[in-house]
Amino acid sequence: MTDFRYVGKDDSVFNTQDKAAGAALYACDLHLPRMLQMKLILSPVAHGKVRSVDASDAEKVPGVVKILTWQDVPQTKYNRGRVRASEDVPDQETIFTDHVRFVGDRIGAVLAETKEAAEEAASLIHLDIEEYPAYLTPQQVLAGTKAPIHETDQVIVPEVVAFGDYEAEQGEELQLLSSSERTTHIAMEPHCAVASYHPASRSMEVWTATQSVFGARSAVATLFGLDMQKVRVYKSPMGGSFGCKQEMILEPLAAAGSIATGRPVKLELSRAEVMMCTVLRHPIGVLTRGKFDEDLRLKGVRLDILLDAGAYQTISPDYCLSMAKKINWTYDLQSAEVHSASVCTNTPVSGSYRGWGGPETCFVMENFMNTAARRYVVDPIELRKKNVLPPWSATKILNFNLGSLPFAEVMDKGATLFGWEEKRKVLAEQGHRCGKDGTPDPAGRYLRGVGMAICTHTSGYFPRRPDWGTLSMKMEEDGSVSVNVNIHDHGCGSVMAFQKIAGEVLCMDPGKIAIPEGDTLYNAIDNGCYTSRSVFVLGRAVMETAKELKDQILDYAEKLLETPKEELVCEDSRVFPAADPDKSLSYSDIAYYAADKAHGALFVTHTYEPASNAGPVSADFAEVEVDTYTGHCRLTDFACVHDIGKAINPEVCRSQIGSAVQNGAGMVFCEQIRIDPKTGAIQNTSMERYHVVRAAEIPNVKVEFLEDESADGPFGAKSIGEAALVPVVPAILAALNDALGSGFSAVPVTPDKVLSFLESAGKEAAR
Amino acid sequence: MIFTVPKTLEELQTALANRSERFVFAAGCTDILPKKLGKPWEVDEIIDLTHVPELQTIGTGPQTGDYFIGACCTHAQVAADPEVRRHYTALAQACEQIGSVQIRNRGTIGGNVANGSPAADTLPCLMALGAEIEWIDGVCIKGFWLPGAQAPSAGSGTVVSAFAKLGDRDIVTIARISLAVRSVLRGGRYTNTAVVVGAASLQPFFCDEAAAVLDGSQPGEVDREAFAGALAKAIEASIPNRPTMPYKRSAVRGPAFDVLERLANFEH
Amino acid sequence: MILHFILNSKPVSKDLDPSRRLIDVLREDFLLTGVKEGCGEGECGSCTILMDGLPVHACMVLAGQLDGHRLLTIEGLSASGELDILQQAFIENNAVHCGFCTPGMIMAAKGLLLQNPDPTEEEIRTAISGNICRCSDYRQIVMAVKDAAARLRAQGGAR
Repeated sequence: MTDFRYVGKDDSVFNTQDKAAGAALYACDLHLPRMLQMKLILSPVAHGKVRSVDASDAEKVPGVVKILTWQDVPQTKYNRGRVRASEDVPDQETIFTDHVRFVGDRIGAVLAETKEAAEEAASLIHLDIEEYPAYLTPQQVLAGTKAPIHETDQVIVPEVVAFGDYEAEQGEELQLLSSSERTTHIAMEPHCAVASYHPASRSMEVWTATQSVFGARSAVATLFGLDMQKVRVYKSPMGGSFGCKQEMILEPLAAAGSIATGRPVKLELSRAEVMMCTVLRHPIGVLTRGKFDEDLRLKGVRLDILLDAGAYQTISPDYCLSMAKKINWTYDLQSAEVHSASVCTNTPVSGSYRGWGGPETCFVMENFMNTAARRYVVDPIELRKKNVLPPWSATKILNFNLGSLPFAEVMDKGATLFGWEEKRKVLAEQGHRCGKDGTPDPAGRYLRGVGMAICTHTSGYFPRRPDWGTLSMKMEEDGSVSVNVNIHDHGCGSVMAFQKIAGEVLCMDPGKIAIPEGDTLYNAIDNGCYTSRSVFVLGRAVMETAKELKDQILDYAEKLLETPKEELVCEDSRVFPAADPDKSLSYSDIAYYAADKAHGALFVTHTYEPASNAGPVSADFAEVEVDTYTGHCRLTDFACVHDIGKAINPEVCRSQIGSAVQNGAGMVFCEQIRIDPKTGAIQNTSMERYHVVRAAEIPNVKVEFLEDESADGPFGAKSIGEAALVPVVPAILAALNDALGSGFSAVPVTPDKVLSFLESAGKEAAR
Repeated sequence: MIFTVPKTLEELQTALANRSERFVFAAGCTDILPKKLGKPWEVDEIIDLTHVPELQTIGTGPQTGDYFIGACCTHAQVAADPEVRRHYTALAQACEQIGSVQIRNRGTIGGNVANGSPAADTLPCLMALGAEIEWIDGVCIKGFWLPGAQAPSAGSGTVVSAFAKLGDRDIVTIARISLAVRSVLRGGRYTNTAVVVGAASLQPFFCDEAAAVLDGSQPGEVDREAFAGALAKAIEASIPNRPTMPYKRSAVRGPAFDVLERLANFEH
Repeated sequence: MILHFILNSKPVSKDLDPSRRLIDVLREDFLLTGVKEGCGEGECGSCTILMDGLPVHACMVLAGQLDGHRLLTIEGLSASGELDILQQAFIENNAVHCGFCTPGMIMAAKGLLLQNPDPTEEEIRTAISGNICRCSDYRQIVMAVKDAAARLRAQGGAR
């Protein structure tokens, strides 16, 4: 392993001083002169036609400036998931609508001088709505809709993704239905966007914690017919996304408010509004079928995916395909067939979530493999070793190389880190029963079990769509550097990773390298910080650009130091001949020389186009304890090994994994948005009723990185942020099933489900 | 909006006498503010109770030996009070499990009761401990009187009590079932036991059948299954048709065992 | 209503609508935007401040209740321009990620250390269970609080 000066060393994320001081300004902290507050008017019914909006009482509230409905804004249908206007995706959504399709659909908005006035006015809006029958599940929609939710694209059946001939495979077919419920991301910063329209120049500024300023710009410019160069979108600091801020949800709305009033507008959602009317993780149901031969080799699989898109299709058809395309990233299959359907229902909109189909496909496949391991009584690791892809395999879908794929190594190292063998031995010999502290006790109140799962994830778009990173880098006269790159830090430290990459190449303190975040006015067009491409694609682009800038510096140094480039050494912002370190020049000396006496700027632009997509693999191991009296479950141990290629900032990578484990444990034990089957409204639009795993309920996660530096990412790095979540849920679920001897394949497994399982298992045993 | 901040008991009485028809008391605000979130106030007057010293006192009454806890004592204050911990242990245990640190520093025992939530943790404890409410003008809780440790009902024995609850999770949680047990240890055996079940149904209720299991038993030798069984029956009877009944009937075993363990571990 | 209270060590007398929430008053009237609103219902802890030295949610206090109280927000920790030991420990232990929970988390930790200068890991985890961080498993936060506690003890205790 190469030893680097900055890369691979722990550093805090970018801008921590301001964050720790409470001085970092998020969009919700911005305040512009004459700024108005916007409050959405949301549908109280799941499906219907708004006959009229009576705003007479609302208008009387002091401070109310304007009340907007669908009649006051463009009725252009759009897709919030569209990043570039040229994308071919179904258009169904409008800024505001009179055909309301879920509880929380947007009818209009109040614009007022204060938040209190806007809230009061919104509560005084009287709606006259003709209610239509509401269809709350895909099954209800597929059975036929008397009142269609959409005229077109109500149900989308994406192309079947397949290779080989599944039907012709020999062997016993196993079937498993896996499902998961809606969840909300709980990024700590609720959604907020500030828009400021300047009527005289027909120009717009938007501040938003987006994952793509270009996506936000495209939405605003096309919806309101503005010139793109006159719509400037700034990426504001992001208090977490996990996918919830990647679609263009708030920006068009705030822009509509600003255009209507000619004043800056802030749209800041409450936590309940975030749950109701932004985006939730898809509820999915997937029937997995697979055939094993007598050597327990998985010959082929067939998935039938049913995705509840919620009221608008948005990104859901793509999500189906994203799940489908990952079917051959982990197991060496002869055949696969993935059928999917994305169905609109009268429920809150489903959409992007950390991992974008990766965790979903892994969930169903790893549930399937763990079920098979139980059925065939084989160690889950052994079963996987028989079936994983060999290193440097290409996937049969899109036919690209997946990279070093060190499955055996991550499993072996993970098993050691976790103590897999010992734990299984104790459980096998002494039973799963134990006391509170985990000591085996045949009469104990608790049950413990262990489980594991593996995965491969993506590092960018290649070869699914053209990808690149175009950026510029310059050196200032004092030797500091600034980089113009379309980066959107989600709060997980990608800016700091880029600073370290550039600092490593330029042999200078990363703290002296400024990397402002996304700004449409200056950045070159970019695909946005999606699909785990930031470090792998843009980070590599930063690395290459830094090399070019260094080359410019060395060109001057060669001349000034009268030493050939090859014999020059850079260290700590200085350059000197290897043979004569005392004869050195600072970068600042060179920058001044360039400006005062030579060709001017130390400035480079560069484009990097990835030609590979190394999939990071990982193995996760979990131990779960179940309280058999109450059904409460607790994660008591977790270990994982990630083939990260090279951890640019290891401690921050570890916290991303910790975050994923927290999130995944929540998905297994408690996180769930519940829809009222009578009204279609969310029953738990509060954090009092939406439970996440808290500090006292999670163990310290053990993490080990595998760093073979083989990938094309900067210094050999592969992706981590999304990858971290991918195998967590099936690993924890497997541990839960091991503890109980159950076969749960639907999450969350709430205490009620655990107890009712134990009761029926008890009756079964007594029979 | 009228906002009244009485700073003495007399000012509070005056405020109550002159109160608006639509008014609300504000103390810790941990229940009213989440309810009001995102909406305008639906009252014409807020009467703040946090500046009246008499509502924040905690201590032994002058004559009876009974113990007074002011309505605006915070959960943290109640949980930390040495007398409460010693003689009204169940209440201390309930208060130290309510919400988070921040909620315990702000939420008040009076508010917990007045809010009328079936899940209020202090209610079953106050009932089991035989607390009485002292009212101001019949509308405002001044505080709670708990029978003195040497009260006649205790006789020559020692009053012991414990609390346990079961929520959706193990921490920062609202009770789905709460149990408060108060008993008198006399000659090494439980006597005069009271068991109150909270949160399971709309109102907390006494469960005499469960109490009977304890009476006559020695700590550590209680028939725990019989105790849990009695509670399960009582829960089934109290909410026969609720979809949550089967779970609660079964899961009560958890807090039932917990509360007995805490009661047995009682130390002066 | 004119309210008199101490805000970040300075006496304040201010005419405020008493029915507004403290969080709004701090953010809008005093521009103390380090106080973050993550839920508005006392569940996430992002708006945690110290009131008379105790951690409370700024979203659970009414402006009209402020008379005579002493408030400390995240901004008050570094009023001298220098970051407090807890703030430094959070940075150095990589306990700051997206940063939205950070001010509330630091104030909850501050409240803990004022009462318990040498907390165990379990005590720390319990004390911050009212504060949600979605960017980690809380490991670095726990390390930061332990680190700050040790440094404060070496200095003779939290202020």
